[in-house]
Amino acid sequence: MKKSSTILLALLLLVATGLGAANHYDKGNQLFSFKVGTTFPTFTYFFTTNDVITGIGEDKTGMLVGGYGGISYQVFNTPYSAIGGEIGYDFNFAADQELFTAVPFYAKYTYLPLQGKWDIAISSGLGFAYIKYKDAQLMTLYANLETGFTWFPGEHWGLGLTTGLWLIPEFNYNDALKKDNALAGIIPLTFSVTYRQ
Amino acid sequence: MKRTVCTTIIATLFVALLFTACNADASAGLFRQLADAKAPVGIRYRQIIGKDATDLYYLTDNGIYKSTGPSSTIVRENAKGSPVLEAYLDVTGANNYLIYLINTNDGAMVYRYNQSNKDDDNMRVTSTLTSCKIKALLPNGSILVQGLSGGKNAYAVITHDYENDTVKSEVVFDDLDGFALDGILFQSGLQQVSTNFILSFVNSSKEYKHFFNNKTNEIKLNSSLAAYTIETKLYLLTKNGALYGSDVPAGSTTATSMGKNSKMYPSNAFLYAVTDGSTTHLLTKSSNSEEGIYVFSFTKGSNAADSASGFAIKEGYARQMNNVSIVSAFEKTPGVILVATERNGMFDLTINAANANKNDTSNGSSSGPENYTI
Repeated sequence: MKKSSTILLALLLLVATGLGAANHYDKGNQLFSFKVGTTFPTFTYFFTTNDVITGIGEDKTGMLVGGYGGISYQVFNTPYSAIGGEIGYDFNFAADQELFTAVPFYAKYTYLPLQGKWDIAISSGLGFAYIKYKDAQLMTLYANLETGFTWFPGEHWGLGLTTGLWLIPEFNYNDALKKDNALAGIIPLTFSVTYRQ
Repeated sequence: MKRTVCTTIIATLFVALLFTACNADASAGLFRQLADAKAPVGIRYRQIIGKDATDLYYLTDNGIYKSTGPSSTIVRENAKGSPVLEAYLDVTGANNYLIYLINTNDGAMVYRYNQSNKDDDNMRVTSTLTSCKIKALLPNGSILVQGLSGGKNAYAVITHDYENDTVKSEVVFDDLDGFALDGILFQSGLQQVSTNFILSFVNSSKEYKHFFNNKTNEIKLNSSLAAYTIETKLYLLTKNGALYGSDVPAGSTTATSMGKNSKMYPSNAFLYAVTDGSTTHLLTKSSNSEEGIYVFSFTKGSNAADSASGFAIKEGYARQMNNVSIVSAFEKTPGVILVATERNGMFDLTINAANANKNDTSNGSSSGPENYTI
């Protein structure tokens, strides 16, 4: 309880600090980011059986630690928030050494309570992902919640670190496959290079 | 600007929505398949060769091994460029010869490996056919050859005395001009010891000929066969998932359609029969490695039309049969079998015949991979 209160207080202070701080961005400024990093399969939840399997590898999610690369573009619609999109490519080898791949592309909303030499960003994304593994492939929904920071040693170029949670549901139309409908959670950890103007 | 970006994003998402969830061709849900993924054990099995008094012999991509269950040792490592393709354990003599087939520049050759002195001797395979070529070493030790009989395409199955390197007997399948070999079928789990087999041939018009043990015993069925087994009657599984039954052939026989599933089966698919005295269950494994075991059940001894019911089994003895490809099987006792998989190791399956078509733990159990006993 005490820990939760501390975290909540810290978040409120952060937001308050951000709102009280002078903004670096104006409406119309833009952010271009290039990301590379790794992804950690975290859980798979099967809706029909309420089974939740967690962890990496065999007898768990079946997926191993993977890699991700992506590009994003955002435009500030207010001095503290930006909208845009991101497209990327994720791969994770499975326990059987076959490859799971995901190509997420999604709309993105980012709130930057702290900005300037250091940007702290909280973003949410909603869109689609094309996912494939062995004989299964589908276009499905995709959502994420991410947070991270970017350090700008100069005016335009910055280096950042981001993490969060991706959610990828699988809804099958085929009656035989409906029992396998599931929601997968993946935690990314990515380094980014950002150009702002 | 803002409106343009929003419009573009919304349009993209709308188009993408039209293509969501098109997973219709998958054998199982994508994340289910991932959750069931099994790590390869590092052994690529090709065949369970047989068993002598103490050891189980098996063939992998590396060569021939023998195992006591807990530990394995290599018996004959593959020579570079000429891997052993098929093998047989001859326990009829005193030497427990390993018989194997390799491809050479002169075609397929059958060799006898003496485990005592490590000698490899080329077997003199002779036939009544002319222009004769070795086509296969069968898992029961017989040798399939192709040649000419009376100037026409013919095949012969030769039983060889490996101790003395002489031909014991020969069964000829002649008058097969225009026909090519479509399959050499053995009963799963019994292929090392059974003298029964089915030879299937097909011509360019997709006409099939199936012979049980000899040319007189022809099974009339114009479809490509994946497997067969005998449990009171003869049961045939086609590559497109249809089950047929007939009397065990003694002369020409016509098979009756007993049921069908929507699965595809490879040549020499896994097909194993168990019976509880009143009901026969045929366990099958399709070409799709992601699928578990599919069971056909029917009254024991029946081959009545449309009498078989189908059951998809993933629990109990089939618990570890998802995401594996069975390449060979060996029956230890009725209902207790070893199955070797292509990449995922060897498993013990214990099948409770009374519940063999129930998708729960009452149907039996499995152990493995590589945790088997002999």
